[in-house]
Amino acid sequence: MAPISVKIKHAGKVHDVELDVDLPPAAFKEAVYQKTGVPPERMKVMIKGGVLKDDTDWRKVGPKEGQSFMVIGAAGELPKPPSTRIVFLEDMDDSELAQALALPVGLVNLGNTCYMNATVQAMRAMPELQTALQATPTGLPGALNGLYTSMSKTTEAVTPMSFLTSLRQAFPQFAEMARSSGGMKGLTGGYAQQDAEECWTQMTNALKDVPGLPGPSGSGPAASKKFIEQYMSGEMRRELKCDEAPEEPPSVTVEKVLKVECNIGPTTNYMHSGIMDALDGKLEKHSSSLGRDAVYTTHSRLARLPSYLTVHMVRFHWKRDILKKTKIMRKVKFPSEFDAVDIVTDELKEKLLPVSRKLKEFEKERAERRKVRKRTKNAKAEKDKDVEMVDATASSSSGPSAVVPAESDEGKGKEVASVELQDEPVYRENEAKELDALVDADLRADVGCSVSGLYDLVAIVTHKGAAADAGHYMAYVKKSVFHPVSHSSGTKGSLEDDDDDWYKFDDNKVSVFPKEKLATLDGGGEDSSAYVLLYKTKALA
Amino acid sequence: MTSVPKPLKFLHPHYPELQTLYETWSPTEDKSLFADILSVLAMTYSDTQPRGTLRYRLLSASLLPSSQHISEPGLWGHEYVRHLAAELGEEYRVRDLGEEEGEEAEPVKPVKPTEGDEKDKEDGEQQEQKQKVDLEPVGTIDDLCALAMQCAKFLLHHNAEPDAVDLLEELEIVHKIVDLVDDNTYGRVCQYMIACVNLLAPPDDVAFLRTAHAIYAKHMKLPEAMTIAIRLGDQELVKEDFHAPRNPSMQRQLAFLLARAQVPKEWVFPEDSEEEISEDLLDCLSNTRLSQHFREFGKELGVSDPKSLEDIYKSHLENTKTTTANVDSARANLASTFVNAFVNAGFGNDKLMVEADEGNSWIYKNKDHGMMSAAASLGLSLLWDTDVGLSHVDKYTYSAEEHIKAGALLATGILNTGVRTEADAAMALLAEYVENKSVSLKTSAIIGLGLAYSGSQREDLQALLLPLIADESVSMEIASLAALSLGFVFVGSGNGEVSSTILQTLMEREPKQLDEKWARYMALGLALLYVGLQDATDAIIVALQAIEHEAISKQAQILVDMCAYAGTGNVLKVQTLLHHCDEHIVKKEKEEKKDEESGEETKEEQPQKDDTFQAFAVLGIALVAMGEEIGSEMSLRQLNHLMQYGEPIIRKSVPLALGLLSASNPQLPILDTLSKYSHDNDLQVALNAIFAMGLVGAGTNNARLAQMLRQLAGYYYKEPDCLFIVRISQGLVSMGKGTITINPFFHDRQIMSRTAVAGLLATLLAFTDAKSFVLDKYHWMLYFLTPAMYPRFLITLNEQLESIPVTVRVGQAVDVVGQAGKPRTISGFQTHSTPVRLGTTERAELATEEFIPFTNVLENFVILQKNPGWEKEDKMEL
Repeated sequence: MAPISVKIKHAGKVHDVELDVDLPPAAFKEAVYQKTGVPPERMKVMIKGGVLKDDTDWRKVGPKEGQSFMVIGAAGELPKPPSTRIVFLEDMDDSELAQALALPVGLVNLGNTCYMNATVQAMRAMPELQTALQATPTGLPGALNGLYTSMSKTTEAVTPMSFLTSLRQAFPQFAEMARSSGGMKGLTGGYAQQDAEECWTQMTNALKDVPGLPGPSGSGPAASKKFIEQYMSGEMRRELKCDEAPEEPPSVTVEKVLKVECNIGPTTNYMHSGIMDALDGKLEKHSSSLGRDAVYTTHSRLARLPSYLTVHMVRFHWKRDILKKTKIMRKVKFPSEFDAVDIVTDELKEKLLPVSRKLKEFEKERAERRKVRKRTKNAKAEKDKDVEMVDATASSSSGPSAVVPAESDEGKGKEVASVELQDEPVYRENEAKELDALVDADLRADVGCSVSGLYDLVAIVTHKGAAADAGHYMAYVKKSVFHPVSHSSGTKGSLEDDDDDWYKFDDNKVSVFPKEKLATLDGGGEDSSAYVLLYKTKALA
Repeated sequence: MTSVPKPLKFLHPHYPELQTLYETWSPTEDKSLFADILSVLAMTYSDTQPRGTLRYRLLSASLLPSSQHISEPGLWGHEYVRHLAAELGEEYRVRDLGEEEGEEAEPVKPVKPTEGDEKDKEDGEQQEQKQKVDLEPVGTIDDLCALAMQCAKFLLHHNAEPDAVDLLEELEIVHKIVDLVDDNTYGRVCQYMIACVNLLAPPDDVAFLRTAHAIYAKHMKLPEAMTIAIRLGDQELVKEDFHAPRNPSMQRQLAFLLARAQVPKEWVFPEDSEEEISEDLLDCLSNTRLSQHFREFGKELGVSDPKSLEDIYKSHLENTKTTTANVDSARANLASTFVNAFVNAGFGNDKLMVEADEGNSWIYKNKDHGMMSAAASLGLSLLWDTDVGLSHVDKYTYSAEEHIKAGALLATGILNTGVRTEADAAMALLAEYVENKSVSLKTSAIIGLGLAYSGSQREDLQALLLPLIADESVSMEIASLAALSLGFVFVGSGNGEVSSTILQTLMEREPKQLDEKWARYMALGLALLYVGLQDATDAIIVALQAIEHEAISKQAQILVDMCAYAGTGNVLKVQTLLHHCDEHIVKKEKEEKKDEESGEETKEEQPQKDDTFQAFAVLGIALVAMGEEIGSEMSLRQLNHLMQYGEPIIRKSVPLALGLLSASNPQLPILDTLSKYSHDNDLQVALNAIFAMGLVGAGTNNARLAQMLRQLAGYYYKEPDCLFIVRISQGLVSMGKGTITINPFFHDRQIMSRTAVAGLLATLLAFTDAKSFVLDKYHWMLYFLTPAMYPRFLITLNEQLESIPVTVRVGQAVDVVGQAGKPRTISGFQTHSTPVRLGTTERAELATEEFIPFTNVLENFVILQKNPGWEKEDKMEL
């Protein structure tokens, strides 16, 4: 019998195929394979009452000229499982979870210990500190190390009992009992509320012996320094000049400082002016040349800027007339980016300026690029998507936001508006090189100092309430501290998102705090107001 | 008395004397006229002399010689007729009542010997005599009917169609209206009658529908007639209507309607008939082009691009800490699977599954049983696309992973839902797996078949699946799902063989097996067979009462009962169902402890009473009430009460009932209520409320709802179960990117899709015990929604069945039944060009008279014919 021509429908297309009724179905399948590319063993041909089997007799099926058959099957490879098995959240245990998510955890309040909790949380914003702590197993640093380690291994709030004990051992003043806490706490003998700033200072003091981190080159001199010296302390150059005897040579002292104070006077509205007030002051002291007490002008400037600059808002002061510590409620605005150029010595300024200027330029460019990207993304979502998406998927390779990118190469070629835009990491690398070249040699050798004088705010300890020895302390830490962004690996998802939100640590409660609300911490009322601010020097890349 | 002539007005005070005078007259023609006058005068005395108008009217008629005809009642004016009509109804009721009472009283009273035909009348007379001694009723029931017909005729001619219908209804001769209506009145009469149906008690509702159908058929309004025929589920009527038109376009239009209603093709083309069906017609009947049209529609609306998950979640607006970590949560990914499937349903271009890069398929981002749902989501994404979709799915049937393979089978079934193909691929591909050893392959093949052939009533499926139910060695899971599958396939058919098999299984299985959670699906399978059959279920309910296993017997009875009256708004049924909820079944834990101490015996004596049936009863209230607006509003109130006073089992079902009541119809009061419940202390209640929010907003893109769900996602970020459901609800709200509805009512909300009801019920049943179904490893049950999914579009076609753009006005539907004149049927309309999206409560009308549609309801596919007169007018204007 002569072959008849039939039609096959496959994936929405119709093909003409010859069908020889005398040959076994395999022959027909082969013919279909030629047309569709569906391998015969995976081909399903629909005939009346079922699927064509290899032993089906065509004569029984009785195909007619021009009859159409439906063919099911996909040409090409079968979908393969990914080479690596995906580990799911549900499969992990608690510590793996904590590591994977890097979720910040709270600290349980052990009775008026919020000052300590807030301090510990704010200090956690210095990842270098945690690294450095690992070398010291004993004493308060050891206890702090233990606390930080346990915090990074759980998703529940941690009870800092042992740390508290060692803190009170080291500094007995924190074990002070509340004097007049009234009948309520009288029975339990509650501990008194303490000053978080004092705690901060004492803790940094206690950490003095923590060995420093080696420099990037692993050079010798750095290793001998201590961590606090490297990363947290600046050098203050104080010039004392006698106003009444201009001929008297100014006396210059250089001292190490752990914090910059911000005096809050009746006219202070900005942190910057408060700091300047504190740096330049007048004082009365005995003049050797005049032989009497005279008014001197102090002119202090920092000769070294640490990576982490602590700013202390001097909100508590001793009021002599009522013999009480009171709080200054005044609203003082603090910047989320701080340029320290004004508070350094002229020599240091020289060294800093090239880097700082360049960095500012680059920041502008970055913002510009971000804008362009956003625009092109909106305008041509489809075309531009691949650039964004490649990165997004790489960074959060599967989070709900991950969308598998369509052929990215093809899309890139078509880009019009963002033709000149390469991947962000490329820019970053170039910038980093350029900036690196500008860094002063002295500063480069000084591990832990700030080379640009530009700072980002990373942590805040706030105080709430009107009274100095009451109220509540809380810590606010920038989110990006916990989810560090690494540009080198080609990730840029979080850069795109500008994830500038904060975490709020209210003892054991941790919540997200939008950056827009940071301004509410300025003070000016009984609500939380910034007390200790931790600035971190800007990274060059 | 306004329409009464002046001279008669003056006679008014003398009415009583005139009455006495009348009695003295000897019967003549004059006396007849006198009676006429008294009849008119009696209008004012109706309170003292019951039904005087009618009485004298009848007397007047009886006094006339047979050669002469009494004057038309209309001669005395409209008011007279209305008066007469009112009294006719009363009189009929009294006589009808009297008959019954009379029969009871018969033995006591001496009975006049009467003969056959007259007996009824005589009984009535006796009753009358007993009540009002001096009043002898006049005329027979037939006389009453004849008079009623006259009145009805008058009323019909004077724009009082509702009155006419009411009158005939009161005399139980509504079918006679068919002959009275003419071209001018039939439309309004039918509209009124159809609007009445929901408020009538059986069997009047069916009588009304049949009458309306007869009128439409008589006036060749076939789409309208077909609507009613489908509503009645009457195979003969459907067939008649379908073959009535000679115009092929009209027949295609009817075919579209049948396809939408998922009426089996065999109803109109019996298998044994050798009639050649044209290909076009077959395409219309089997929805073949649905996928193609749907995608074009999507393109026209600018939603054909796939949506990513982030587009739906918009998590940057959520008020939570987002974990930016690189870890996959199997739970979150599973939710994403469903969201992706629901959102991109039907477009076949989603990025996670269909268009995924080689080896980067989303399937592998799911864990174990999650893979099954992920693979099955392909089916939803490629919904209705039988050409390309099957090959896509086929790839995964070769997978070594059993879950993926099972998912692929389910996908095959899902994508064939509502679409019939010549190749009959689903049957060919899935049938062999029904006998497979692997439980997961087996179940997905069974469910796949059920979904693919829902409503088709295919005999071969019965042969394939029935043995699974009958065989007692088969596990309860398989048997129940097979029963459910057959329920889908034979929904609303009342198929005796299937029902008796299920019934038998329910009777014979071990009580322990019937205690399993799966038993409810067995019962649902049975119940689905009776969707919309109303009192045809009496026998089966009696049979169910005989089942020894008390819990399942009660569950099945309720399920069958509520399905039978689904969408009827039957108040009595709602009351019965409410009764089931009033029992407070408290689990007595304390007592049990005592029992344990005292020994096993007492424990056996008092087995815990099963309260699952109450959950079904709550759903039933919504199911019965949902067809009708007033009824559903009343049921909202009832549900509110249940929420406050009910036991936990009832409370957790109430949100589901709300979801069913208002599926794809996000009304603010319901949203507010659900939002309140979604924060309930009982997580089960909250969970179901969240899912109900998804149902209520399904495919609407409702922004307010989306906002609520985002807020819930933040609220429940620590409750993985709730978060899972929140995500799914978010997916539902954006179902088909806002182009798909799951509301079971269509065609101007006149027809209830039985397959859609089946789909919704099956899904909701999974949520009556969410912990052991959806939240366990049976999340694929969410795909039960598929039969309820249908595009909410209006596509206009020319007579060659090509889509043509036409300007239409789309606005909120306005109820114009019984209103005078030609009021607008839509309000607040906007003008669009087809294809256009229609909301659940929206209606469309053509903006110009350029085309004449073949159907009265502009919805789904509408074939248009060029209006020959229109162009001429246009030219003249020029």
